[in-house]
Amino acid sequence: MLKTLIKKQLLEIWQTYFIDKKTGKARSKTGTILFFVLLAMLFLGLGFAFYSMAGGIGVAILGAGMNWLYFALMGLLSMALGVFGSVFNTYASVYLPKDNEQLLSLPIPERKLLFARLTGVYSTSLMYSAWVWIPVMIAYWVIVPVNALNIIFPVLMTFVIALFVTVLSCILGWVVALIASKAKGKSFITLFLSLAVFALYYFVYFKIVGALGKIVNHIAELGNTVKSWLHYSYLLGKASDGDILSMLLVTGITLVLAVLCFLVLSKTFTKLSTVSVSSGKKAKVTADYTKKPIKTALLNREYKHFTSVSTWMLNGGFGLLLLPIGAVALLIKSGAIRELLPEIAAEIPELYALLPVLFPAAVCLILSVNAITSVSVSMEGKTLWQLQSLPLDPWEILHAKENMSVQLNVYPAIFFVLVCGTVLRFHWWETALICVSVWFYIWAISDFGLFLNLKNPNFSWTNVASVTKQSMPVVVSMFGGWAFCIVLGFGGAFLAKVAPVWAVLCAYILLFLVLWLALHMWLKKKGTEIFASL
Amino acid sequence: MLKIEHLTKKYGDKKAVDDLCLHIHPGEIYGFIGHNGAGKTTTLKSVVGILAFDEGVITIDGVSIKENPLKCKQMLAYIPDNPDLYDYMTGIKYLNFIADIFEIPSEVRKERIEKYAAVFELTDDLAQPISAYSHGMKQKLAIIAAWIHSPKLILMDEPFVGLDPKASHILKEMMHEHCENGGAIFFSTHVLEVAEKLCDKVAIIKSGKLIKSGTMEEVKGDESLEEVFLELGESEA
Repeated sequence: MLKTLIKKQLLEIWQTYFIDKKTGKARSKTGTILFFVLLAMLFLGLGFAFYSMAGGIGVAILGAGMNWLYFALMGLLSMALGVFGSVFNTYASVYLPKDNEQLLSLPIPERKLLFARLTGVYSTSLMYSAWVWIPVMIAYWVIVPVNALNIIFPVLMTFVIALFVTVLSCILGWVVALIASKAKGKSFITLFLSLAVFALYYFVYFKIVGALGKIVNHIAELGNTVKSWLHYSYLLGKASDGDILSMLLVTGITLVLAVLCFLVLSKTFTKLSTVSVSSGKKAKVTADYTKKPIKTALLNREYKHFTSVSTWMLNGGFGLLLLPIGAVALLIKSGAIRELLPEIAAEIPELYALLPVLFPAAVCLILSVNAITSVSVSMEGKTLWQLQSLPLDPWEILHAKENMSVQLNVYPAIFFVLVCGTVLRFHWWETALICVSVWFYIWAISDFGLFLNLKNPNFSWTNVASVTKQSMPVVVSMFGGWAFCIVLGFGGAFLAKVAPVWAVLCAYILLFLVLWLALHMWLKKKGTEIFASL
Repeated sequence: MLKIEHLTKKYGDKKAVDDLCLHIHPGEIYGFIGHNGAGKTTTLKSVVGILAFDEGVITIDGVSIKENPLKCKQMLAYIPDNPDLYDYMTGIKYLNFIADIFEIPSEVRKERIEKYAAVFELTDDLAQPISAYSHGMKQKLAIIAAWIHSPKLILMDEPFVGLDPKASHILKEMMHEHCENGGAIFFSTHVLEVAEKLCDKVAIIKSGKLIKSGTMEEVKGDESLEEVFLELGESEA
């Protein structure tokens, strides 16, 4: 039974990559292979960045013979990314799947069902934490002489770290579920709570890393600090370096934590999975019967939908929060940054000159996190019949989705650009051109998301996280967007060698405009046909 | 009102609906009966324009659903067998949304919503999110939404499933009233007693093919509809 449940759980995550949800048939082999090649390239690209970082740190720490410290620090980083990848989904994928009630009505012990749900969390944790850990292992093997134990143990540690990340994510998800159950389905409360828990976790994490960073030049002192205050990390480091006793201890501790976490979660699983959103009160309708234009009605519906799904807001709109927070942080630190600018201008004049060219690529990279439209078609789910049966041109529906994404992105993005332009002392015309380029990028990335989702819709999901976090359109839109922005930054820097800054910024604008128009025209013609036939 | 001419819909090589012809006139309540998987829902969805079909012509008041789907959809309303509505809206917001799409003036929508919500005893629940509704409540809400723009043609897939006896009775009265005012209703059902008492005409479909249609008297003669249905099912097998 457990095997069947786990298979079902994993199938839900992965089948979208192999099965065309529209036709129910297997995707073509070429398409699947091409997609996985693209995905592998994206993972390798970012994996290489982690490898470079691990190599840099490794040379210093491994050179000093403190191999365990290298793994301890990298383990912390791996856990940080693992938690980032899975924490927002744990609540949705454990407590909110649509088939919870159906499965709970079957003769399935609830612990088995919970275990199956947690395998989904574990697989996501594994994917994200291994993204850092694998390059860390490779850098280690390149630098130090290898033997059987220090090859096998770091590999085994990949799975132990993922389990520890699962425990952290589950505890955070459980706390969110507990409080959300009292909030009676108020998605904003869930959203703020998730963010608060997330912020708290990273506050503690960065405090630790910051404290360690201050003494990074004194490796011995750093080692003593980790030994004293982060004994689990110390054991993890020793185990990864091939110490058998530490391996047994760290695995044992993690397993005990996992079992305890499982027992705690299983106590409340059924209750939290079957929370009703009804307030139980009969309320008098104070209805507003004002007639609204169709365009407004559709746009309002999109907003209502988006703001009602906390998982969608967290996964699709995270960058929306990063931008204003970043802008405010920049304003607070503006004095220090302005003092630093002349130093950069004097010491690295090439980089200083490139700032207005690299900055738009960085903003676009943050905006690529906002996969709002790349799930907006799939999010219609089983209510799709409603839009299709109403007298609506499919373009009106797609346009409402596009508009919401643009409206949500444009204000924080422009605010961020204006603040950065002021703090970094860009010329007014540079800031203006960056604003225009970012504005066109937002249109382009919004339409790109719709394009991807229309090509790969999924209406039969039972777990909303499988759409908002793990679906193919989200993965391609986010990582593809990142890859595009990195290439854009390099391309802009290269172009800036032969052309003035204004010309490079105009080239950005032209590029985004062309991309947007191409996607816009595709949506209006082909996209509407696809939507009508879904 | 509704003309279905030689409708054929295939899923792969399998014909879900095969050369189906039906005419529904204003004032008629037309029942559509058949086994599970006979092609009832496929036919209804094709008429509504949410399912593309392979052959044939469907017109509503002379307008082709293929050539002018928006004009057709302005004239009709559809209630699926399992109405998945927008869980993220309250009942009243949902009804207002539908009214906005059909551009119903404020006064008219207010009057209709209040009237039908009162009839179905749903007034106090309209402020609740739809996610808190029972299946029957969702069904009632879908019925109110269907009636809100006074469509000429109403298509319903198993409309009585999930409704309590009182709500079923009200729906039947509403169907009669709608047809007395010149509208038409085309609905599928498995409840043959309901079809027998309620419908002016009935069509029986089996494996995608229309095997009998006409007025209730023409179809059943002196027998009950159940007997005819079972006999036809066996003789065609």
